[in-house]
Amino acid sequence: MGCGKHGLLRSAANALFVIFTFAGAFILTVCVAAAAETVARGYPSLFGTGYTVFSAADGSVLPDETLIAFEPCAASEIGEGGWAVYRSARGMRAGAVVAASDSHIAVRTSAAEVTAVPREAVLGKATGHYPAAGRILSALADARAAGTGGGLAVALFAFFLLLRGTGKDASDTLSAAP
Amino acid sequence: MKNRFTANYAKIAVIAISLAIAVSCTVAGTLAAFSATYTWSGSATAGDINFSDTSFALDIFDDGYVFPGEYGSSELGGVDFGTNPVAWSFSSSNSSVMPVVFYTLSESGSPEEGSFYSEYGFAEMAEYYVKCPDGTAVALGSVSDDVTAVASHLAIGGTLCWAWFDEFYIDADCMTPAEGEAVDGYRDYCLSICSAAYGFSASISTSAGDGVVHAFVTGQTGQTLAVHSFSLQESYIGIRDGLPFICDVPVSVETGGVFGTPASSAGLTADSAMWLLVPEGRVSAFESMLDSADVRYTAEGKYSMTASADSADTAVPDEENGTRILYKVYPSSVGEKAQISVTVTATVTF
Repeated sequence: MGCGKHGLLRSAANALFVIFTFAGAFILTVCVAAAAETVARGYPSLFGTGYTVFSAADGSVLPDETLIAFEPCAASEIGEGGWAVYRSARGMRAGAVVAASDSHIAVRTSAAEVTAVPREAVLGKATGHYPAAGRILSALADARAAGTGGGLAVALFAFFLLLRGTGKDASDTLSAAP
Repeated sequence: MKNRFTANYAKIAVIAISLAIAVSCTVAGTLAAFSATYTWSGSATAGDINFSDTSFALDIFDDGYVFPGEYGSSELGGVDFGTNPVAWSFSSSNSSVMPVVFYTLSESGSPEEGSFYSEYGFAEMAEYYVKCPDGTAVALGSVSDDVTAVASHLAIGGTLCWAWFDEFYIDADCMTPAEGEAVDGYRDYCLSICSAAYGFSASISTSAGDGVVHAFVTGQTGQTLAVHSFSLQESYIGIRDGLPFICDVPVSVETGGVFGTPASSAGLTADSAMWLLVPEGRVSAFESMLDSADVRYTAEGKYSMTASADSADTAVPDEENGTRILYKVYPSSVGEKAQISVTVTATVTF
């Protein structure tokens, strides 16, 4: 009876480990895909959709650190009232389009400020905003040094233990052989 | 043996999760680097940009005085920002809420739709139209109280305009003037913040016998001026209630090419001028008087008066033998006034 309960717990633990492994592998795959697409496009992107974390100014409609998803398109495809994501010299920005001219679009960047964005600097049209996801990403970004270093250290240590354990298993198997 | 398999599962799971955390942090950091302006500031210095803080004069209000019915504009000169996004802001210091409307001109020189902005609320007159200086009719309902309306149309090389409208129309052709309570209320409001008017400075005065000013122009036909003159020995000029008199005779004032005698100083505008003839020998004394009174004037050249100085009734240009200098003397603004100032800033966005 005791042995059966013990086996059940071990099976549950194994199932949990498998789930964790697949979850980790999935996140790894997504991150690698995002990194590859980011390098290819020149801005954060995943499966054709661009992403940016919004930096709010005074009077902004969206809260600070909101994750904005955008569809790459030309400036002419963004109508008045739509949100444009554009490239600046040191990052990406977003704002609601309030006017357009032949060479620029004007986006509202704060309550009393409008930015004239050259049409060629426009990356796309915002299709969604996710404040919670943006906060999580910002928190991860803030902890990227510790997270990256710590994660790699733990992974290496576990890998070392795994190699050691696998080697011992092989040794046991060989010694048990007739 | 089974325990070892479980332990290996656990190690693999730890490896996968740890790597996922590490890569997630790196990717999130990359995303933040693309999004936040401060992330790359460590490698940036002020010297790596071609722009520095610069102040430009915006001579939009001309002589510094504005009145209902007046308007003005100024081009936004400066540097070429190239392909850098530029954050434009427009602000006005207008504590009395002067009902001035700001707007920009398009490349064709016509007012840009959607650029009209005023701190004054035109809601009660929203259905009326006003006529811009270029003749374009604009519905007051399209005048926004959101400052970004005008800020969104600012650009280097663009023209920023202002207008203080005092005529309103009920039709888009601006043919039928609007009347009624709303318009009356608006005009009362304008009067309440603008009691000022133009008037000639009381400092313009001479004494009988000093021979400084002895004639004024009452009309012009071609180059010939019709002149009302007085005896040099007896003439003097004085100002009463903002209007000029020579020997108690009202001096004609020219406005828009038409000479007349205003009933009061309310009939004067910034461009009204009295045309005076001054003996060549008294020019320095006359100009000294005007300069000390901070009066605006222009010297127009030498004239010869027909017959004797005492009875002349015409004057013609005569640079060689003329003995009288024609001066155009302009009124000053007087009274209490509201004040307004405008600031436009452009910040290169990095």
